[in-house]
Amino acid sequence: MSGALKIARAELGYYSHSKLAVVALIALLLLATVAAISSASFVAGEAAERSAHQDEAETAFLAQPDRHPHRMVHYGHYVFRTPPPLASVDPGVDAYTGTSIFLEGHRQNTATFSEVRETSTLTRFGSLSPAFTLQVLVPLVLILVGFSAITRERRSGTLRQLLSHGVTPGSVLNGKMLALGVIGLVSLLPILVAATVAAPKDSWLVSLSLTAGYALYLLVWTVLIVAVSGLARSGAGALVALLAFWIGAAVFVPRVSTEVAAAAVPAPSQVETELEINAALRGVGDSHNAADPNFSAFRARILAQYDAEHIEELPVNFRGLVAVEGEERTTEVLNRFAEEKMALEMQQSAVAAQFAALSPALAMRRLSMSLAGTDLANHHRFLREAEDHRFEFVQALNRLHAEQLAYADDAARSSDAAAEQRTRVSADNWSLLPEFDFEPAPARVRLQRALPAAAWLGLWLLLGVIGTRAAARRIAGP
Amino acid sequence: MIRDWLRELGFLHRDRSQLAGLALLLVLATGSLLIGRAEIERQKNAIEQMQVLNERERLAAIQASPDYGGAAYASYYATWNAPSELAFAALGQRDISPYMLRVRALALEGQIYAADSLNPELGLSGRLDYAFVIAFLLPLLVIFLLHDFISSEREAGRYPLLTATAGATRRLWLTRVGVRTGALFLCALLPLLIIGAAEGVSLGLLLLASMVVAMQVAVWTLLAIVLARRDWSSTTIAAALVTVWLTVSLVVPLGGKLVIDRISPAAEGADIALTQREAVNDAWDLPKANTMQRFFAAHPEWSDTDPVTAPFHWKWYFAFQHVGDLTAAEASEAYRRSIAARDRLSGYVSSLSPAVAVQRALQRLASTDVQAALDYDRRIRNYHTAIRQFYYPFLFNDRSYDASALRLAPEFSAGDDG
Repeated sequence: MSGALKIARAELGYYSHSKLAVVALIALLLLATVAAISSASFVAGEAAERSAHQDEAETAFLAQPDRHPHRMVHYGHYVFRTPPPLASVDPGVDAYTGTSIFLEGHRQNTATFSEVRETSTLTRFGSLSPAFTLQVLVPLVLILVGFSAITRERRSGTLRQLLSHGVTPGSVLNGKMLALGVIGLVSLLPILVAATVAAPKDSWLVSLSLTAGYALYLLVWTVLIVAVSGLARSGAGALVALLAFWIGAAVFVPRVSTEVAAAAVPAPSQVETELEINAALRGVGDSHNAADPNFSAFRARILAQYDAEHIEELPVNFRGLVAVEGEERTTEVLNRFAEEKMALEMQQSAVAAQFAALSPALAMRRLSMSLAGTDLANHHRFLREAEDHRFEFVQALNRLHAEQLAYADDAARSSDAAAEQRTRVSADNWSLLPEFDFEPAPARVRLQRALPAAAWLGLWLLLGVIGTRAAARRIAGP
Repeated sequence: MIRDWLRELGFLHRDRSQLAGLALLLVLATGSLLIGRAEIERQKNAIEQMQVLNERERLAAIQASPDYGGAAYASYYATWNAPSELAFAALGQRDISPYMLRVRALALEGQIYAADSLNPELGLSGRLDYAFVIAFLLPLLVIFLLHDFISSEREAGRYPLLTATAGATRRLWLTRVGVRTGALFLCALLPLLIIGAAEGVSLGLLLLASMVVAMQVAVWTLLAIVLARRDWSSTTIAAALVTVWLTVSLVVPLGGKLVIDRISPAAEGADIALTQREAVNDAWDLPKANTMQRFFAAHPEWSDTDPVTAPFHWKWYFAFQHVGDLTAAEASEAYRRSIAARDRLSGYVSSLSPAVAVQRALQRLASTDVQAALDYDRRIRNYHTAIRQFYYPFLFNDRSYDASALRLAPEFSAGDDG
């Protein structure tokens, strides 16, 4: 091992002499710091803005005057998705998803106002986050610094000298990896700081795992780079091979994964789904119209339940009951379509995930997004929570409609102003609105979700280790 | 002269790795164009199918409606952003901004932002279109083919011999660069010309797109020559060129976005939504005359109609919907202005980044850029106005319901109308 340490020390000495390595490292650290600071301030700003909007929306709801409850069903409510604390490390899909949803009765609206529509072409390049620097930029710097680790020694003849002094090929390789690993560790600093800052607001376990994940990722690159350098015939060969692999892994394969996923699991457009939903809803009936024939079985059941002959005799407002029943039926249909859409997206995502076999960067991105809570699954979690929220307050309002209003007044309110006045319930009731506080999935769930990606990285590491074994044989050989 | 060219062609022909590089470019360019064509074909079909289905649904809705107000409430009208002839080469914003939307005569601000059909995870990776290949991958192949056009000879020990025998060294290098760059340009461009011609793209547009590709090849060839003439080793030159590529292709655009976020933040979309909703809902509790007055200010032609006395009347309902839009108009315009302003600023970034410049230029030619998305937004707004005004005579004149009067809808202008 002491042989390896000596080799590592010599290699680090070489780095500090060679301008390229020093300049690259300084530029990288500068960039990573800018990325960490700007990303943290952006996420903090977004979080503050969105939770301010959330408060504003809640205040507005509570401040509504005395009203017919169904008016409040249509007044609706807005919910905003606040970014999780670790979004400062990896914003994930945040820019590509809508940030707010309007919740109202009878409908499930889509999330609107995504950042990508507001920032035009540039957002398509990703965002300068710590995640991006580590996933894409750091590996390239490691390549530029480390591609010649072995080829250089071989060309100048120093490799043979080392071996004749009894240094084993294994310790030469280990020493080189150690030195390159130091560079990797240094570039891990900004993410370590960012994850530590975010940890108290999230979970220490997740923050640590995230940092460890990135450490594993950089280790994969370190091992691969030194292995290729040991196997290549010349420095140029090593550089070209490594650059080609980097371009493939970081730039090209992600796009290929999109195309394959989109082709393998075709998804209908929003409008097509909307039309399908409308067709499915036609059988549900109009819950504004208590005489809709779709509700006649329901009416018979209610009359039987209360042992009454006419709906006018019921102790509750039948129109309100229809509203409750109608919302339930509608929601069932809407949820079926929403779940179908989310399942489809998860299938696409699963197809794209297979490309981690071709790109460690893709594996890392998935690992990072899952842990940070900024992946597709987290967006779906937001959509589901928003829907639960919608259903809860809409049905609470519908129950008010059924329990506090007289049927006769309710039926006459469009034509009789006095009846209309009597159908207004007190504004105190609006406090039925539950609070909406969106948080990413618990730490355990996110860790579980990150496991497959971590396994892919493990396989890549295994490949690298096999590569270094082969390199060691080549170095020892004639 | 011709002999020099033929000799260089012979070299190129024998060099397997260079040929592989050229073949890769040819495959990528062709593949990306086919992917784009399939996507655009899919979008065209979706638009067509949507029009048919929507029309069927609209006719069913007017049949089922008891009155004009109910029909206006229940009828959706189709709008779509038809792909241009070159859209397959640069998909641009067509995956993130909607290319079709159905609207009805209700307040538009509550409808026009609805769009979430994209799987965000696929959006994050981006599409593999021709613009991407030219903007990002083409420079890397230029670097691969040209970085060692001098240094390889030096490293092989042929440099003194070459400069002694070929006479004019300059001509030798020029020929070599010319042959390699020319081959590269053809591999990048031929697929576009062939598929473009097959798709019936106009010659002028193809020429403009070819110029964009030529500019990109020229920029990177010059950069490669500048660095390749250095007295460095092949690997140092390659590393330096890739660093330049990384800086101008990734770091500059991302840094540019950070700066734009600081100096010109996007207007708050949420404000529009909240404002519009408050205005629409307040109307239920306000005296109806107030709402009607605000409506008549915008539409004086209906101010002579009977006052609204019943607790509910459709003409009042649609009047306050429009008043909701009017209230949010300022915030809504500010939002679109901020998007346009940010897009202009992105244009400045393209002077520092060929990758951004190429994508923007191709997306402009293909009408898939932010400008095109904003144009579509404007066409939706115009059409929505036409729909509202189509219904007003029926609502304000209290005509008795006749479904056949609604069969012919106002026509949506799908193309550029200036």
